[in-house]
Amino acid sequence: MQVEFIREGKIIKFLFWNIYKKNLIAPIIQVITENKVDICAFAECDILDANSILFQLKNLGEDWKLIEIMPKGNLKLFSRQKINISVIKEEKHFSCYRVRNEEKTWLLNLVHLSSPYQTEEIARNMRAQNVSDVIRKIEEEVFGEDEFKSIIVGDFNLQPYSQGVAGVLGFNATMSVSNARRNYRKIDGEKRYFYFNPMWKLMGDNKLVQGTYYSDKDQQDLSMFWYSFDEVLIRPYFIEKFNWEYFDVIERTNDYTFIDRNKINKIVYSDHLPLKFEII
Amino acid sequence: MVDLWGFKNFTELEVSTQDMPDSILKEQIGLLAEKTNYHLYGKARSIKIRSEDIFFKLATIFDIVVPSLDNYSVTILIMYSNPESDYPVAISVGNSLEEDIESFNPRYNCEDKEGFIESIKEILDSQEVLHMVKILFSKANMLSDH
Repeated sequence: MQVEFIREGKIIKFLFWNIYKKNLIAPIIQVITENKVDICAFAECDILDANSILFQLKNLGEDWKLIEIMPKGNLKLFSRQKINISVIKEEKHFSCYRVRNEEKTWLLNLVHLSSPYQTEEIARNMRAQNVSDVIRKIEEEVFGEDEFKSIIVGDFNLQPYSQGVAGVLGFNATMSVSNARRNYRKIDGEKRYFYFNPMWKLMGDNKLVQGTYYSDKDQQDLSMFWYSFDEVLIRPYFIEKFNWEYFDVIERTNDYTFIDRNKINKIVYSDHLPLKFEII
Repeated sequence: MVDLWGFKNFTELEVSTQDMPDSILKEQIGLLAEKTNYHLYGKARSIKIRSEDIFFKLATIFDIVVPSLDNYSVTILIMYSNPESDYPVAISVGNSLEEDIESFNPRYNCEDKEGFIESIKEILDSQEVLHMVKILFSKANMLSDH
């Protein structure tokens, strides 16, 4: 039934996971199959055995492909064979994919921005602004005068309220649906187009996991503990198509628990948790 | 009406700007499609730079595009300039814009037309670029043959 829906172009389930430079094949396979994912993307894939993932999925009767041509960074994206997706730009910190669905073309951008371990927040914000400019240029080329139909997912290494993500010169990603639906705001006469950032919902949940990254120490002595560095930003076109029921941070599979003693178990798995969302 | 402008028309303006870096780059970009029988073509796009650490305020990104790979593109070089002047310009090779902004260390700094042409020649004639062109051409050619 799932495959039929995809063929008709009605539902696509996504997964993003920063896998902490580990070859987490078995947990990845289980996350994909249990959550019926259609497109999955990973950051820090330095030693990830992509063929092993494809092979194991094939053994489970699932036909998948790796989408890359000349990758420069450590990002990887896999999709089911039936999905019409192609890579159009591969850079060190982001990749851009064109998806054709129901006679519509939209863009899926995968990012892994500079790490807080190497770069101060001010510089990370500045770099996010520049990446957002480059992605917007690609949108202008692909969509022209049409409505921008783009999704950005990945490890931004910035919180949803940071200048790089929420700032009008950055990704301009708001938590407000009503404001995002205005499509843009003008700053100094220039149109700055909104993204909607659904991550705010997960941050406020009254449960143990309130982000995709955990740290006892904060550079600014904030008592945050849970961070939402991994985010999905959607252009207003996708707001009505975003499935809030499916959207979540994945804490476990049948055989693997990514949380240990109220923290992310980065010794065994990754220092990030997987994030899933669905477009219907 | 009296025309007080210092140039006659579009043609004269175009001729008089032929030596400027953008025009020189545009010419080379135009040549790529012809030389590859349109399997590949060149494309330039300009982006404003927001970094305080970089002297230049405009980045012109020169991409090679492969139409048969759904317009997949690879950046060959980025020229850094200022909107109000022709020279100096700087050129980085093999980096993306965000990599340059992380650490701005352009391979070439050009003070005039001669230096710019020499640098562009060195880049487009390099093994690095030739290798990239060969890979992309081979992929494009394979797809067009089948």
